[in-house]
Amino acid sequence: MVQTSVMRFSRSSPGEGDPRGGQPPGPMPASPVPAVDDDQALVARFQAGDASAFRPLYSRHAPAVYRLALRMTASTAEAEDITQVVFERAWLALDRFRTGEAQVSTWLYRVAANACLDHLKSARRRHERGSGDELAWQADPRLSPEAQVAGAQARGRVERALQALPEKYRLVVVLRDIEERPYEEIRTILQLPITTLKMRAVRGREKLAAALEQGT
Amino acid sequence: MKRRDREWVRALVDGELDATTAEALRARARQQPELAAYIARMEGLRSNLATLRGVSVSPRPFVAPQKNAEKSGRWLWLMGPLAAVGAAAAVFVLKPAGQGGPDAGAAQGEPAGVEVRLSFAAPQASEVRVAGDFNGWQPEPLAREGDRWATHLRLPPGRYAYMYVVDGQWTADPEAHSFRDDEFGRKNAVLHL
Repeated sequence: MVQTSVMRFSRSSPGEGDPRGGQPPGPMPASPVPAVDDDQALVARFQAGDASAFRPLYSRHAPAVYRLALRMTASTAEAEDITQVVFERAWLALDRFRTGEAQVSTWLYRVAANACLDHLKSARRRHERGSGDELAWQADPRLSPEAQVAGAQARGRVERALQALPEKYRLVVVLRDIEERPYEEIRTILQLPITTLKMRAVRGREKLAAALEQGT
Repeated sequence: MKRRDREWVRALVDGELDATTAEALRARARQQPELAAYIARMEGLRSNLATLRGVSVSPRPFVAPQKNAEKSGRWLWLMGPLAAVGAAAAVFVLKPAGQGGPDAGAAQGEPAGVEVRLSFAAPQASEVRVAGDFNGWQPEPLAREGDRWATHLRLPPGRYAYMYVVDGQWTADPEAHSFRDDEFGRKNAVLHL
């Protein structure tokens, strides 16, 4: 019997069966999958060596990570890259994730928030940040036709004002007012006291309202 | 606007106030136009931000990294778990950093070529070669790497049928993602790039 090298990537479980018949373990689709297992069960499966458990985790959480990155960068290309980076980090770090300490979604938001800030800081250092493809919302073909049409102009206005907001306020406003995460969860994501977060929400909203009133 | 009132309004907008407290704040606002205007601004803003909620998006497929891969590239695993066969093969695609997955290629311009590593585990074999659409079906030798045999190719994106020749025996890649019939009643493995 010939032995093959076991690579970290080629996790396999005894029940996976014929590799030709099942879903290939290559690029993982972002399409929704039935919520057969909860996140903790999926993490446990992944930590036990079943790489296929990563697929439903990605399908469930990638849209939220992508949305956060899109709101932070206003660029579909950058949001795609950040989403890839977040899940690469998750893939490599999930073995160390302790399910009792945080929700997977909260942890991924935290990784995503850090990845966004890293990306923006790095891009600024390279002087690559412009205004972004600021109307990417309207051009993104992945949005439903209704989403593309309905209120596109108003969204574009809000989006531009959001991009003008300093990052420390933008993160809080996006997480609280758009993603509707509770302050307790944002505290875990950003590792900041709740009083600080609430003050940033106040100031961020005020700055945003002022920008919208000035027709930014 | 006093800091304390700004915090009250934030709590109102965030839904943290019970009905009695919220009504008390609104009653006070009816006496204080500045406070009323501030509440209206913050509630209007929340409505504006709500237009950005709930957008359904589907990021591109995830390409999982390989722990020991070079930082400059991303490994894309194309093949499935090993079948219970006497030899094992694998195909890896190494793309230059920044090109993303295969689905991103079309959007970001065609790469000049895709570097592919073909490998086949057959420690008992004395010679392993590979033939396919990419070399005119002229078998080319793989180099022994311990128990494995491997070669690197750089190919334009596309689909390539191929077979290994193990000590003179034509052998389909046991882990290929897809196959197609050849003209001799067998199935060739197909590499998608």
